[in-house]
Amino acid sequence: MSTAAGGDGAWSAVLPNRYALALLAPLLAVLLALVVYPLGKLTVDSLTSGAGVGNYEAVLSSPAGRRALVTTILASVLVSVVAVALGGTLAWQIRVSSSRWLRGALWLAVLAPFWMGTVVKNYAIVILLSAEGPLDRALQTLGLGPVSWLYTSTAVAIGMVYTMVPYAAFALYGVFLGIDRSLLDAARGLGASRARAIAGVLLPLALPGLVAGGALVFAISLGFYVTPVLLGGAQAPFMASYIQDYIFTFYDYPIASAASVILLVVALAVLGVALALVGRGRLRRALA
Amino acid sequence: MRDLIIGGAGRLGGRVSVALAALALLAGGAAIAGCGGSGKSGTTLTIGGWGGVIDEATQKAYLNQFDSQTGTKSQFVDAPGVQLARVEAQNAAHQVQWDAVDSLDGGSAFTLYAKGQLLPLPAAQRASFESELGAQKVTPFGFSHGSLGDVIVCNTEKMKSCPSDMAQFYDTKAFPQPRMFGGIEPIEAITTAEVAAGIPIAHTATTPVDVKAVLKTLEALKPYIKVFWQSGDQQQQIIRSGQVPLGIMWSDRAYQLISQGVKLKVVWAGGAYEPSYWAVVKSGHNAALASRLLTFIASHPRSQATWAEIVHDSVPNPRALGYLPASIASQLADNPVNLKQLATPNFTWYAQHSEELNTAYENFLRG
Repeated sequence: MSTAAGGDGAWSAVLPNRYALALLAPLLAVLLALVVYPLGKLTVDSLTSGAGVGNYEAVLSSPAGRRALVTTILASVLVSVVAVALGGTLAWQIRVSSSRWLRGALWLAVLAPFWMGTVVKNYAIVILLSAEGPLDRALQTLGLGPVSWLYTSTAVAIGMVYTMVPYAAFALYGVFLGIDRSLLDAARGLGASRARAIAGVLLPLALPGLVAGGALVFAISLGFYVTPVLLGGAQAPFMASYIQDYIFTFYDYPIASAASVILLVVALAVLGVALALVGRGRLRRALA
Repeated sequence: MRDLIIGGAGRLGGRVSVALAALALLAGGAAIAGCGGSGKSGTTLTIGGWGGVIDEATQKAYLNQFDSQTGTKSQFVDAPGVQLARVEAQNAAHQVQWDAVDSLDGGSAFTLYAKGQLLPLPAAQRASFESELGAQKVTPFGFSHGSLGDVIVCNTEKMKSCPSDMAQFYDTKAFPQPRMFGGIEPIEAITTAEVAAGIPIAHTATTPVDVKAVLKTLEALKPYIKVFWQSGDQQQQIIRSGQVPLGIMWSDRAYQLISQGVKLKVVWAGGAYEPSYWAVVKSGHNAALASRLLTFIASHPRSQATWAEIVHDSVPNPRALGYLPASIASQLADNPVNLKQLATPNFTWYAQHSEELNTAYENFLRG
C-alpha cells in the first residue's frame, strides 16, 4: 500500500488500476452473477416465454394488474415525498442541533426502524392502528373516533413511510453535512426570514440530495410486499403481491416476469428523470 | 393448516427463498442419489411439507415408526402454501426431488394430478384405502388428511345475533357488519358463494362453476368485506383485535381463538370443506417407498389421532375419531356432524379451469 502509486516510490492513496480491478473483481463477479444475469434473464424470459410480448399486454390489460401498477406507483410517489420531508427534517435537526441529547434522540428515532424485523415493525403498526388500539382510544377520548385505519391505504402509507424515513434521513444527512451553515447565517444577516433562507439557500443546495434520496426511496418502495399485505389486507393492490401470486399460487412465470420487468422499467425511468433534473455530476456527488 | 409464512424465507423475498430452496433441493437430491433406490436401508424419503407444528406432528405420529420399520430416513422440504409451484418447478427443470406431499391443499392436489405430476394410486391400493377410510376420503391420487372447514365465525360480544348459515352470512341487509373473507384459495371462497346462491351443499362437488354468477354474488358482498385474509395467523389477528366481528375463517384457527378466550360462535352450516391430500409425486426417486408411507398412514388410526391431537386438523380414518378426546373430535371437519353441513368444492372442475378462476378472482380481489 505504501508504494502503491507509480514508479517514483512516492506514497499515494490512489491504487494503480490493475490492483483496483483485482480488488473489485469479486464484487463485480457477484454483481454480474446475482444482479445483471438474473435481470437479463428475467427480461428475456418475459419476452420469449408464455405469450411473449403478450405477457405485458396481459398484465396491463387485466384490471388487477393495471390497478396494482397504478397504486404501487402512486403510493411510492407519496411515500417518497413524505419520507424525504420527514427524513430531511430529522437530518437537518441532527446537523444543526447543538444539544448532544437531542442529537442522540434524533439518531435513535432514525435508527430504531433498522433495528426491528420487517414483520415486527409492521405488527407494531397493526397494534397501534387496530380498532380499540391506542390511537383509536386516544381519538375517541378526544371525541374524534372511533377511527379504524387498519386495512386501508392510509395504514399502508404509514407503514411504508415509517420504514423509508431512515433511508431518506441517511441520504440527506450526508448532503446537509456538506452545506456551509454560514451561508444561512449570511442570508439571515441580509434580512431574509427563516423560511426565505431555507427556500432560497438551503433547498437549492440540497436539491440533488433531495432528488437522489427521493429516487432511492421510490425505487425501494416499488417492491414493498409485507407492509401492504399486513396493513392493507390481501385486497391491497400492490405489484409485489400481484407478482407473488403469479409465481407461487398460479405458477405463471411469464406473467410474473413481465410484471417484474414493468416495475424495473418504472424504477429506471425515475432514476433517468432524477438524472435529467439535477445532472449526473450533482447526483453522483449527492449519492457519494 | 394453510399458513403462509409472511416475512423470512416464505412469501417475502420469493426469489431468495426459491434460490435457497433450490440449493436445499439439490443437496437433498444428492443425498437421495447417493442412497440408491426405493426400499433400500438408509434411503432418504423427501416430503414436501408445511414446516412448524405440521412437520413435528407428522414426524412424531408417522415417520418415527415408519422410518424405524423400513430403515428409511425421511426428511422434509418445507414449502408452506407453495407446494404446487415447487412441484411444477421441479418438473419444469426435469429435476423432481420430492417423493411425497404432506397434506397438499385440494385445489393444488387436483391441479397437479390433472397435469400428470402426481402418481395415480394402483387399483388395489385405492380399494384398500377406500375400505379403510371410506370412498369419500380417497381420490385417484391419494387420500384426504389435515382437512378443515371454512366456517362462519361471529363474535358474540359484538354481535346481538349471528348468521345461522351461509345464506345469512351473505345477507347484508340482515347482517350489515364489516366482515373478513378469504383472499386466497379461490375455489373454496367461491364455493361459499355458490351455497349462498342456493346450490345445495350435496351438489357443489359436481356442479360446474358458473364463474360470472359467483362473482356477481361476491361483488354484492364485497362492500361489506373489510379485509381479505391471506393466512391463518392473520385471520386470528383480525378477529382478536376486534377489527371485524364476523367472517369466514379456518375451523382449526377459530377453535384456537375460542380456547384463548375469544367469544366466538362457530357456524359450520354451508361452510366449505377444505380437504388436503397425501400423495406420491410422479417421477420422484422413491415412489414405491412413498407409496408404502401412504399405506402406513392410512392404516394407523391411532397415529392419525396423535397427529390430529397435535395439529387440531382432521384425519381420514373414521376410527381415529374414537381415539381422540370428544372436545377435539367435535372440532374436526371429518366429524360426521360437521361434514354433513359442509359443501365440497368442485375440484375436478377447478383442475381444468384453474387459470380462468384464478384470474377472475384476482381481478375481483384487486381489480
